[in-house]
Amino acid sequence: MATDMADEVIERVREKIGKVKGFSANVALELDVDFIRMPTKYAAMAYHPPKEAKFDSEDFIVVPKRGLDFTYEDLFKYEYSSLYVGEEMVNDQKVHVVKIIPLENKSKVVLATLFIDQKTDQILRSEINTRSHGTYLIDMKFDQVKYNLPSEMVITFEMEKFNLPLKYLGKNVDVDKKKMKSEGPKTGRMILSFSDYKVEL
Amino acid sequence: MFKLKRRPLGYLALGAIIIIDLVVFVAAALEGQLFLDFFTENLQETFFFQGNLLNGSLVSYLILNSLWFHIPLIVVVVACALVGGEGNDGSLQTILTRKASRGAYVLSKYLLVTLVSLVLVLLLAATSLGLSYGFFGRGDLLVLMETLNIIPFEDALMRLIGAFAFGMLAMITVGLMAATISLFFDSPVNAILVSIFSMILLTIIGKGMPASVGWAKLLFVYHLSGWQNFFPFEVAWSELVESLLVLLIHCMVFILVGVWYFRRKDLV
Repeated sequence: MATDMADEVIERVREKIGKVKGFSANVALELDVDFIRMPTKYAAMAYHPPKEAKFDSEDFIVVPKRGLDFTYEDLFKYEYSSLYVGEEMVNDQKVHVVKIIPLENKSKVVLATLFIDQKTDQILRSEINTRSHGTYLIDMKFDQVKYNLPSEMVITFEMEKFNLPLKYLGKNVDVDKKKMKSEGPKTGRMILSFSDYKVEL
Repeated sequence: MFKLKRRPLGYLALGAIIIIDLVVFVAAALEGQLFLDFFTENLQETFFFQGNLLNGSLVSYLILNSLWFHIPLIVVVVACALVGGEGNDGSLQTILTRKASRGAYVLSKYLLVTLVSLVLVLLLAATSLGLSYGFFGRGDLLVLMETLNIIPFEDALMRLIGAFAFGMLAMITVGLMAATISLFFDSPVNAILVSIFSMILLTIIGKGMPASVGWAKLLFVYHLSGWQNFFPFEVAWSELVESLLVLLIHCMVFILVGVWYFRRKDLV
């Protein structure tokens, strides 16, 4: 029963995702990591699955390696098992919570939990556990209901402790070395704001 | 000025600046990418970096680091040679028997040292900014200063110019210190040694003092690297102003001490 329900929800989501063959958009990239400081960067982005997203910018940009799989290609590429977990509220929206477990070792994803808007079949949140890159969380906001293309996407990820090469730091720079050593993995966020979508159907 | 033109020392100093530039350029071209990879190794597990970080902004920043050590040495040598040389061969007595007063004479020396220090840093700035952007292109500046800061090109350029401007005052302070010390010695070589020893000693004393005590911040050597305050993500204006004030006060003190001493100095 739970599996049937999950399959039904996933089928609707995949149908929505499948409407879009590719897209281009302008994107503002905002990095929120406590030991990296950079201003918001702007780029043009193009996405044509199964190819990875491409960014074009005159600026130097930093792009996360995970979380930019807009069509969930990695998740649905191989056979999977699904489970309907229940209902929850995400951003005041009632969502289906579905777990997906890819069954093949080749899959980069070990487990994914999707939070799917019950009204629009858009994925508002995804929690992805990967085989080799830890866990990351994607929160998406939409300003349209037709496609699963977000207006804002927040990717939250774990980062290994950043080893600052202290001897290259400035002469008068005060750094709390003890604190730095005691800190474990850190959480970072990348906020992507999309505009001017050009959708290819 | 006429004397400076005739002496090879000024040209040697200018040549040294250009050599410093070239060495950094070659090192950046050969090792720059390895240097950047070393800095960003951890981050590349999580992010793709797109764009050129080995650019003129970074190379200019690396050259700025020579203001810490190499340029003060050149300034000390030039200042001591300009001020100390005349006591050695008796030409000082000849000059002072003419119309110049002792005060005017020593002030003219300080002015000359100031101009030479200015020209040295200007040359460093012009060659490093001009050649760096010419060879390595424009781009954002990656600086490790408390955090890993990525500063956009336009902002980075203004900060680099500000840092070189700050460096001018810092090197003028060093030059005036060396000039003042030179007044106490007949031999420029002794003056150079004492000047360098003083800077090393003050640096050690400054480092040995906990910053919270505050004494270190009264030493001018502590503020020679104050240009770094341009490179946190938000420019540390209060620290910059503090450094500028300390350096300006030291400049005035060096000049006052020099004039006071030289007026009373037994030149016979």
